[in-house]
Amino acid sequence: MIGRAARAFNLSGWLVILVVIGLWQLVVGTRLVHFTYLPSPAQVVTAFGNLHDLGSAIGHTLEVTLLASVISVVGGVILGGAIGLVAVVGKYSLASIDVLRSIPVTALMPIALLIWGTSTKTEVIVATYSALWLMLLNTVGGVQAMNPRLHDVAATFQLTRLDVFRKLILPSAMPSILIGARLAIIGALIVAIIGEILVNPEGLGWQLIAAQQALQPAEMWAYVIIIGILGMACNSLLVRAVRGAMPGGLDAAWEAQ
Amino acid sequence: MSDTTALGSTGPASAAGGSGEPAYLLEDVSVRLPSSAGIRDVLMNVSFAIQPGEIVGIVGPSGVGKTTLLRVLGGLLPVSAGRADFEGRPIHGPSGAAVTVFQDYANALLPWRTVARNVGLPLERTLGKAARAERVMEALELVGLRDRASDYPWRLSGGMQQRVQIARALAVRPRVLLMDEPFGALDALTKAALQDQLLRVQERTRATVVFITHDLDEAIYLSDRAMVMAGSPGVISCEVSTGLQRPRDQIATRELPQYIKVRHELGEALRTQPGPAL
Repeated sequence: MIGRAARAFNLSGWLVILVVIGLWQLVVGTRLVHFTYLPSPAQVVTAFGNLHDLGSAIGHTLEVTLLASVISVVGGVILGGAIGLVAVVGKYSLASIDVLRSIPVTALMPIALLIWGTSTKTEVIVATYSALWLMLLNTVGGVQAMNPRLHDVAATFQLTRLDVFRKLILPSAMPSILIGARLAIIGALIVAIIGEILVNPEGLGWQLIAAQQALQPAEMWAYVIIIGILGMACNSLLVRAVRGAMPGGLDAAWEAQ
Repeated sequence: MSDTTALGSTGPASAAGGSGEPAYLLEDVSVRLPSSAGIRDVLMNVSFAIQPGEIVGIVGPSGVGKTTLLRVLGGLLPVSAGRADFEGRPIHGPSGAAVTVFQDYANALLPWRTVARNVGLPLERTLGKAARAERVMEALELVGLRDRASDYPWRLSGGMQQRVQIARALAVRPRVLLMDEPFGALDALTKAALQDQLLRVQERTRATVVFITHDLDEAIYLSDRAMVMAGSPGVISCEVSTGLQRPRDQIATRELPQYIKVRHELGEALRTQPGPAL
């Protein structure tokens, strides 16, 4: 465990970040570089104390992100599995998927706003829409990437179709599904923030815009940092959840890739 | 479809078909497969019988349909014409009593499962946890990998991985082991060690073994009978009983006059063929 923790902590990487922050403080603090609305890191740190309703804003954004992620992970695995495994489903759906996923979700937001109004529901719908593609396409890729030799193995040992799915296809696809889930959860967070800026006046995205309208750049940076931390937390939450769900198996699947 | 009598037996499968019935009987088997250049004849009028407990090696250059023939025997590929019987009944799909071991062991094993759980895979529907664990250990014992049960296959050497695959096949106590170039990807020393291990395993289980090889010496050393496959479409062009005593010895057996005589005969058969372009 210590070995893993030591490996996970990238000292040189963090040093670079510290140096950049130090330089930023230096050039802005000494007025070497001057923009009216660029605060120094020290001002950003102070701004953390001025944030109001932070808990409920984080709660709202997190709730939307997690809800959209869960829906898209479950839906993406089921739909992606069907598309990847049932030839006829893939034949009829892949063209539509290619068209639909090329439409940026931001372009659909005004439409969603008209249909469902300025509500959390709209926010969840657009976040799910965006995350679902990532899940779906990764699942399709994963189930199709199974080594064809395993079909021979299944045949020679007379495994049932259900066993082929549970014991061969699903574990084969798992690394790809997990990559999809990690992308989906970050995608859901991004779109939830955009949704809060464009359609639903709640959560961190809305607070960020409110700070902008109040001409408080230091507060804006504070929100940006909080959103970043939220993204990292969502990612590591997922990694942990999956490790807990399939002990040993996951690492093995990853390392064998 | 599901001839699983071997699974229920209490000891390693004994030479089945006590009525003197052959394990395999092929008469004029032909296989046509679609290829980029249309339908291609892969096998043409292949006929032979294999007796229970016999070890038969099929040797020949690449592309003569050896793997296709083995897939027919394993029920993985239907015949286009002719008759292919396993233990007196036409082959319709894999039987559970004849299990295939593939050449590409790394692809045939499940990298997310430990060695023991790989070997246990075919038993999960038929045996409870305790009985399965016992059977898995017994199979691993046969290939000398008992102490690696909890390792992942990709932590093992190529030779060990192939032994895991063989153990997985043995775990269902098959009456027939079908092996597609089982040692083709291994170095010479590992190959020799696994050849001897296979002979010992066969000695204990009395399973019928049909294997494919590119290696003339392997075909003779392991087999009671060696067949040469040639041509396109593939036919059995030569069949020789090796007549070598068991147990065999990697050095002494290969120096026997009988061995050299058989090698000469098979070597001539392989040489005189108008084989496919390699």
